[in-house]
Amino acid sequence: MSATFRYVWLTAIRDRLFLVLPLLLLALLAATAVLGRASLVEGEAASVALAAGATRLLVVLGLVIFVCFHVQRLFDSREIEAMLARPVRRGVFVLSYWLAGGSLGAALVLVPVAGLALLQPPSMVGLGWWTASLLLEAFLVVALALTVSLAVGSAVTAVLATLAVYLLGREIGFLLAITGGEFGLAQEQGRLGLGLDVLMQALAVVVPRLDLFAQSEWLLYGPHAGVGGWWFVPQAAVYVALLLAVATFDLRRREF
Amino acid sequence: MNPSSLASSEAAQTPRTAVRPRAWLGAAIVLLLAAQALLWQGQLVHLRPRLDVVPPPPSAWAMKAQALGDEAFLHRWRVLELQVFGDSGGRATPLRQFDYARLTEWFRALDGLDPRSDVVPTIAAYIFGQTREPAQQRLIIDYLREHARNDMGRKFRWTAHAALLARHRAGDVELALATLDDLSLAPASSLPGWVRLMPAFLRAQVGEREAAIDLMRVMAQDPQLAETERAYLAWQIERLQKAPEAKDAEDARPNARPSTPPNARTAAAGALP
Repeated sequence: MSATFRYVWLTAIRDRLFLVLPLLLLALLAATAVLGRASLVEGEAASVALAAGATRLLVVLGLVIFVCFHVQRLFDSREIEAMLARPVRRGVFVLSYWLAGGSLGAALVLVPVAGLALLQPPSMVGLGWWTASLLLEAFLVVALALTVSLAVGSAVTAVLATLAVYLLGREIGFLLAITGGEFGLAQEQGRLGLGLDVLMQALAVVVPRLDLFAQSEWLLYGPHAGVGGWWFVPQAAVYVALLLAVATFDLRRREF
Repeated sequence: MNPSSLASSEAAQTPRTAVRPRAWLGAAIVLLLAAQALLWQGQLVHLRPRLDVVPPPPSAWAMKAQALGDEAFLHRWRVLELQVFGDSGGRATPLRQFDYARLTEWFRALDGLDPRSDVVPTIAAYIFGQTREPAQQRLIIDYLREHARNDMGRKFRWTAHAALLARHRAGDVELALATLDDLSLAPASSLPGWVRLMPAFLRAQVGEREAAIDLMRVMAQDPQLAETERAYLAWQIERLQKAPEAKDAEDARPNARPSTPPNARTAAAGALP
């Protein structure tokens, strides 16, 4: 298990992940902090909200691209066969890869958190919540990218599919509100609206509620603002376990 | 010797040369460049992006969809856009050319993303509230009143600002007084002294001296009032009682409003003059 863990870290260092992404994160932090100051009032709040939202996206994007292309490279170079030739179970391999990827994400998350702490958000307790939820989101995104890239043959397809699920996860709360009639649209359409509502409810069961994670309102107004409170914790735990189980199932079906 | 093996050995020995481009390919490139130039001159050069002074505001659900679950981020991003409406791309647009009906829709849409923030009413009051057009002023006043009514305990300053705009920019005293009546939506104890005094000062300004005095007497009965504030109210009441020209103006003003606001009617006059 530790061998896989070290291998992923070594390739991340070799690919200069810890050089490029932190530099990009710092540049994005600086740009959004300055942009926020252009606000007529509440410049600090604007800087914090813009920096938080933008850096979160960059961390997720960086992890997805790294994991999908790295897994693809494992298959192309047949390194995965060499790794699985050792006496290690495929479930343990998936778990160790996920832990390694998640720890990479945790290391990357330190950059935006440090930057936001420097910006002094109105709620430091909210910053703690935001940090915890972004860490869990990083682990969840790594699991999602790993599962998709193990199932799909192409790295580009894996990246696009993972990002599609990620975007759907961030929008699912809004889509449920739409089909549930909160904006009056579903009610106007009668049976069609009811059918859409049922469909969306079924879809929501298998899509993670990513809109509950890393909410910028926590930074501005404290952990009691926003939606869902601490429900991101069980969401992350359940969904990561589900994804790892699916990835293990898929890997066990493959013949090398 | 086998001809195929001879050919393969010759191929192995002969260096590969570059494939010369066909003549038709060069002609096609020239023709396509000419077509592009004609298209540009004919149509594309005249096409311009739409640069509305105030673009059409997205609906509430469209805003939520664009937020991708992070409404605070989208709110701050779009507020930066709101600040430069009409002033981007080298333009400087006079306020009278803005579509204030669309602007107020933008204000409401952005409030839907973050109702606690004060940046939108600040922009509305201090930038767009500078207009001299009465119809536009009225829209700003109505927006500020509506924004404050959603949370009067925290947003009372926007009611006060709307009343100031009504009184001093629009010159509509009745509207200013009606705006200040909105303050009754919040408990008096949650409002600072300067806000609670505004109705009294406004009535005194327009000659409703007795109404102003009554309001101040009611305020002075507040047991939590500081002694310095109580002394200040006593001085104001005494000053108003000594102003004879204000009484004449009050008698001459048609349709004078009731002397006590709804939240003061049940309070008895105290020991003040």
